[in-house]
Amino acid sequence: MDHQITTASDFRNTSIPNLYQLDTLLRCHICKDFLKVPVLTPCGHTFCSLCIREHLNNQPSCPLCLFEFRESLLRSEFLVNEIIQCYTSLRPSLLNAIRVQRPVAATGADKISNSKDSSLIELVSEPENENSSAVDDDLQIVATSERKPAKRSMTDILPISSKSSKRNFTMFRSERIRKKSKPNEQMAQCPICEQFYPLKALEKTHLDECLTLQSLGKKPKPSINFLPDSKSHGKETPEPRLRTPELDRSPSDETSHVDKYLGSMANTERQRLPKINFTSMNQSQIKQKLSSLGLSTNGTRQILIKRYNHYEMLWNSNFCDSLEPVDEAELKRQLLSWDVSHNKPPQNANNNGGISKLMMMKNRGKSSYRKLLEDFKNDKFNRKGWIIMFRRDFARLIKEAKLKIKTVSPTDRDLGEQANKKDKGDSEQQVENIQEASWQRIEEDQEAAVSEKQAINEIILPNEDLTDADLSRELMDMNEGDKDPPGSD
Amino acid sequence: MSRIAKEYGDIQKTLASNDPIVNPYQGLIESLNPIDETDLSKWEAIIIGPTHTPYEHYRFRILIDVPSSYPMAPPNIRFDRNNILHCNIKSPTGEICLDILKPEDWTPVWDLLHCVHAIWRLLKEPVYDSPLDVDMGNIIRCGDTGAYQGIIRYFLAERDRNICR
Repeated sequence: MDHQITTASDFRNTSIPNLYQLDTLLRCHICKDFLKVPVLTPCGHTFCSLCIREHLNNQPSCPLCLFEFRESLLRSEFLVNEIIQCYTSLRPSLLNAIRVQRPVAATGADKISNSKDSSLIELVSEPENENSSAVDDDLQIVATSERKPAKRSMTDILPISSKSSKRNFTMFRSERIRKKSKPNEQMAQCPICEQFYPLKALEKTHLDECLTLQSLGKKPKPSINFLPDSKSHGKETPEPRLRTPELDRSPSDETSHVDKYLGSMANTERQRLPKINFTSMNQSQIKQKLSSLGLSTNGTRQILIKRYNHYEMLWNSNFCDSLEPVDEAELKRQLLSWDVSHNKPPQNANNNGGISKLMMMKNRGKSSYRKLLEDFKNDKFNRKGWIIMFRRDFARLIKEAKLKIKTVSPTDRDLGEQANKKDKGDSEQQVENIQEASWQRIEEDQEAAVSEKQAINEIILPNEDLTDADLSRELMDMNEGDKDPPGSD
Repeated sequence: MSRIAKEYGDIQKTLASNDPIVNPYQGLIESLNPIDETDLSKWEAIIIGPTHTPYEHYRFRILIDVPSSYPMAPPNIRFDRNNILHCNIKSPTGEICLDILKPEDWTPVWDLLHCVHAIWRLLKEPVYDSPLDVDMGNIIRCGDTGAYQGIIRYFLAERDRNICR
C-alpha cells in the first residue's frame, strides 16, 4: 500500500468537488481511512472490522448511534469491501483526471512529485500536439512487445482531438500502464471447463471451484472476464484476451468476484476465539491459555490479558470477517508488533527467538535495518520482503547450526576477528564463525545480506547506514571470508 | 496515530477555505494546529468568542493533548489557566466539563474539529445543570443572567488589563 496520506478533501480542488462525499462515505468513521474488511452493526452502520472491535472492547455500543450490541452481532459486508477495493485502485487516476488544470509547467512539476503513476502519464500526455506514433513510442518503454498491437488499435479507436476525451484516454492509459508494471500473466487452459485463466488464478482458486461445481452437477459458472475470447476465437491470439479483462474488471482483483465468494465459505472452518472472563483466573491459568495459543507469556497479568484480548480481536476479525484471511503466523506477527508498540519490550528476549534478537540489535544502535523494523511495528511490514531479504541468512544459519553440532572445540574465541581471517584458511575461518555468539553472527550476516541485495538492486529497505566505516570494514571481512578459495593462506 | 495525521491534512484544508460549505467554522475557529509540526500529540486552537455573549470580541486559546490511544480514547482538552470564566470550566486549571470529552461518552467518530466546535458551543450555551465552577453555576441557576454575564465581562477585562501591564 502507499504510505501517502489521503483525505477526502483531496477532491476539493477538482472539477467534481462533490466526489468529496463519495470519498467520505467509503471511509471508516473511526480510523478515517478507507474501510478495511467492513462489517455491519445491527443498527446499520459500517466500520472497519478491527476498528469497531477495538471500540467494542472499551464500550459495547455503536460509536455513531450509541445502540448497544455485542461483538458477535457484527456481520461482514463483502460487497462494500469489493466496492472499496475497486474505488481505491481507481482513485489516483480519477483524481489525476479531474484535477483542475493549472498552467502546464506547474502541473507538470506538481504531478510528477505526486506519485509514480501520474508522473508516467504526465510524461506521455504532456506534448499538446501529440500524434499516435509519439504516444506509441512512449508506451513502448513500458509495454511488452506482445501487447503492442493491441495498444496501437486503442490509439486508433479513441479520438485524441478534444481535450476531454484526451483526459479520459489518459486515465485509461494509466490503468494500462499500471497493469503492465506487473509481470506478464501467463495464461493456461483449465482442463475441466476448457477456458483460459491466468495461471495463478487457475492454480489458486479456479481448479477447486471447477471441481466442486462439477461434483455438484452444475455447469461451472463462466468467469465473465475471460469468456468472450476463448469461445469466439479458435486461434490463440494473445492481444484480445489480454485486453478484455483490462476493460472489464478493476485492476486489483486477480480472480473474479464469484471465485472470492465461493472461497469465503471455506473460512468458517476456523472457530472464533471466545471472550474470556479473566477475573476468575489466576496468573498461571492465563499463561496456560496464552501458551496454548502459541503466544508470548511475558509481562504482568494486565499485559497478558490485554495481549489475549488483542489477539482475539485480530483473530476474529481475520477469520470471521475477512474475505481473504491471512494465516496464523501473520496474525502473531501483527500481535508482536502491537506488543512492541503498546507494551514494554519483552525483558527476557530469548523467549521470542530470532525476532527479539533483532530487536536487541536495534537497541544496540546498529541501524541498518531500522527502517524495516519500524515497518515491523506499524502494520506495513513487508513479510515477503523480509523473507526474501534474509533468505540466504536463514539458509546459512541452518547450515552453520548443523555444522556446529559436529564441531565441538569452543576455543580461540577471543582472538581479533581481522587477524584471524587473514591468518587462517577458509575451513578454519568457518569454524571461527560458528563459534561466535549467535546474535553477532546474525548481525553480520544481515549486513552482508544488505550489501548483496544492493548488488542485485532488489533493496527493500533504504541502506543509508552502509556508509559507516565500521560497518563497511566488517562487510569486507565477511566477503573475504566468503570468497577466499580454500587453502589460500 | 495515522488517524491524527489524516485529520491534520483535513483540518488544514478545511480551515484554509473561504467557502462556508467547506468551512463551516469560519468566525468560530481561528486556528487549530499542532504546536510542533513534528509532534502531532500536542495541539493548540484559537477560538473566537460567540456573538451576543460576554465572550464576544475575545479570543481564547485551547490546549489539546492527543493520547496514543486516540481515537479510542478522547483527546485531553483544556483552556489556558486563568484565562476564562464559565460555569462549566474550572478557571484556575482551564479544565472543561463537557460530556463528549469524557471517556464514557466519547465515541471515536468525533474528531478534533468536532471537539473544538463543541467547546465553542459550550461558550455560547452554558450547561448549568452540571457546573464545574459551582459559584458561577449557582448564579445562573438563580436566573440572574445579567450578573453572570457581568462577572464574565469584568473577568475578561481584568485579564486583558493584566496582560497589558
